[in-house]
Amino acid sequence: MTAGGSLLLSGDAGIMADFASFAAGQRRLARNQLSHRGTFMAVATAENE
Amino acid sequence: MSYQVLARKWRPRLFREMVGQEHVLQALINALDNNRLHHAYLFAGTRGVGKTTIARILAKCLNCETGVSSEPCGQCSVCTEIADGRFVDLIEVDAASRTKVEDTRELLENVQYAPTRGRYKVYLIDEVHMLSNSSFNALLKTLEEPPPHVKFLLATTDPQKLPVTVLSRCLQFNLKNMSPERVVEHLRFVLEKELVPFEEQALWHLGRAADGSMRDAMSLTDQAIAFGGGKISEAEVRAMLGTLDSTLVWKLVQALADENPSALFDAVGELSEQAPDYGAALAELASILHRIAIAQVLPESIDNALGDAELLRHHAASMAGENVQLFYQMALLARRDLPLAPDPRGGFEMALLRMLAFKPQGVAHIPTAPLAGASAQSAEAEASEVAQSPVEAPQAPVSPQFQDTRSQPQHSQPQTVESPQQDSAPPSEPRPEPQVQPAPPADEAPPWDEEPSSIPQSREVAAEEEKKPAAENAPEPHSAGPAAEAVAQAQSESMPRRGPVSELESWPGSQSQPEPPSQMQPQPQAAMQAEAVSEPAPASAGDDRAAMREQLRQQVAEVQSAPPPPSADAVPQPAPASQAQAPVARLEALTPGSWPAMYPQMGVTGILHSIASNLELLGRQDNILSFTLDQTRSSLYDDGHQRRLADVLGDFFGQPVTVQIQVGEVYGGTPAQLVAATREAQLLSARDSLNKDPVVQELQRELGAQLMPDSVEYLG
Repeated sequence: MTAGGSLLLSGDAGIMADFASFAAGQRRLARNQLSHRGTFMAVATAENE
Repeated sequence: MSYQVLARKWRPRLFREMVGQEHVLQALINALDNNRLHHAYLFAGTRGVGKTTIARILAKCLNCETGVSSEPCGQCSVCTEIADGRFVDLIEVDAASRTKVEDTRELLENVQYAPTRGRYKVYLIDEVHMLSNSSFNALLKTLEEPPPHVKFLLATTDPQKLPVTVLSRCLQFNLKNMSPERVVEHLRFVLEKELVPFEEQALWHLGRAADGSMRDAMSLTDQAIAFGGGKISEAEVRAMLGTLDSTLVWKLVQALADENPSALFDAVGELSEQAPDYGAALAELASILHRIAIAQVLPESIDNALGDAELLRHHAASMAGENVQLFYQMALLARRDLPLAPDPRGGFEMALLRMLAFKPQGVAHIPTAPLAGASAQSAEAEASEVAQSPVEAPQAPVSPQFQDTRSQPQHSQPQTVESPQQDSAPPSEPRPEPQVQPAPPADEAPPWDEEPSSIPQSREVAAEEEKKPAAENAPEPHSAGPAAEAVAQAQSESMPRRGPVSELESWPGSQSQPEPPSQMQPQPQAAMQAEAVSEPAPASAGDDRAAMREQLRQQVAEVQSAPPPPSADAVPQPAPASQAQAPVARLEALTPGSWPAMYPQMGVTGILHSIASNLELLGRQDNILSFTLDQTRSSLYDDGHQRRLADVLGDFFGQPVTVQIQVGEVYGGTPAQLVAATREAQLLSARDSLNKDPVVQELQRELGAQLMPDSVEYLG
């Protein structure tokens, strides 16, 4: 089964760097998007195979 | 006393001495006599039509010692002082030289004081359009409510430049241009008083050159007197003004009327000796033609103003009206084109030759009956009559060329149209004289005649085509030509049917392609065709497009030689309902339990799908199928769906079935409910799978990530 979904992350700027480094090593997090609107927020789109 | 120019010497001193402008004078005279005077007047008009003059006379009328009237005495000290320009209460301001707001303020500071000698303080502001915006604004308040002893007289040549706030505070009078007749009349009066001998035609030249301005006319007259040494002659005035000798232009008209090229060129040669402005010569020619045309329709309007009444009368009687109009039009166009000519004289001569070459040779032979109904014999007889008519006999050496030129457009156009018929004629048969080609009989109409005529009748054609077999719709040999392609391209929007059909039929792959249009994916061209077929039609096309698409599907199916294979794999892509298919299931296998799983194989689409997918099979008795339609999804249901579903099921099972549908409550046995339940189960499974995913768990654990439940989807 393959499923997909979004993970919401929020916090200070540090979390963005952490997430970026985390996502860089995750092949399955290839589709991700980072955004900051007021507070830093990241939405990781993960696919699980 | 030094010489005073005519324009100033003969400036009117009373209203009754004014020439023209009766519409202004009447209003002013009535206002003066009835004591209904406005406090601000605006006189607008071109130069030299009497704006300042009227304002000065009005000032006299207001301040004359004999009282306010439209007839100032002209004798009292006030009248004489105003005439001499030294009346203290007539403040004449040249707005063009006093444009600043400081000047206007200075002017207005004195408004409040009473007049020194007269009854009114009259402010005559000439060229008022030159005032600055600030000056206008400074003037506004006083202009609206001046003291009772103040009158404002504004004069301008350009009232458009005045603010509307100023215009609305004034009585506005628009002075008209002077007609040449009025100018000549006044000049005659002045010259008689001045004892200057003159020629009448010279005055007309001056009157036309003045272009509506009496002051210009007087100035030109002064100039002409000086030029002629105390007398005014036509030749001298013409030389002074640079106008053409009208006798030469009349010679041109005579040569044109006589169709005499040699006389025409003699006149041109004579004209060129004066080194004329050829544009002006064409304008003069057009002017004479204009007067001839007027004389033709209104003979009583002929005047001898230019001494050419007899010539006018003669040519008005001898020249055809259409000739005059044609010559006039050619003269106008030749003036426009003259700068493009290699040299002006050449352009002038070509214009005159054009008048000869394209002169209409009478109107008696213009066919009045519709050409389509005329027979070939009558058309030939008419053509030969035209050719042999004594009226049309050439009178001048160049006339044979005129004959050719005239007859060329009559037969060249039909020849190109009728060329296929000419091909069928014996090549050795001599072509007749220029003739009007008869319209071909209806049954022998060229094939492309049918093509365009069918374009606007798409509804009829569509109905007609439905009756024909598809083979008849195959492109005719003639339609393979570029012209037919162009026609087909031109009508591709309004008739999308013919283009795709032709291409499909001529495409070799289509013969061996058994799939319906929606399954032609391996062939790109076929995919494009299928897209074209399934493309939604614009709303304006309406049912015609739908009928065409349906017919196209049928035609495609008919040209396919191989029978369609069993569509066992047709589950993901439903085939059209109307497609004939081999039965893929037995009716006996259909049970309430197997119905939801079997339904997707039937390929139902559209609204019928939204109805049928919400049906729950109650039971089957022989070939009678009883369904319950989900009552929450029954808003689109009607009886037609029952019949159409029976057709689909009949095709699917290979035997006729009867469908009974009743609306009611369903209990999970509809295909739609099966799909929804499956989807929900998949979603739950996907969410569970994601929650157990180690990466997601790490994200949640390390970074505090939250899985968004709504975003979870099952991907397969």
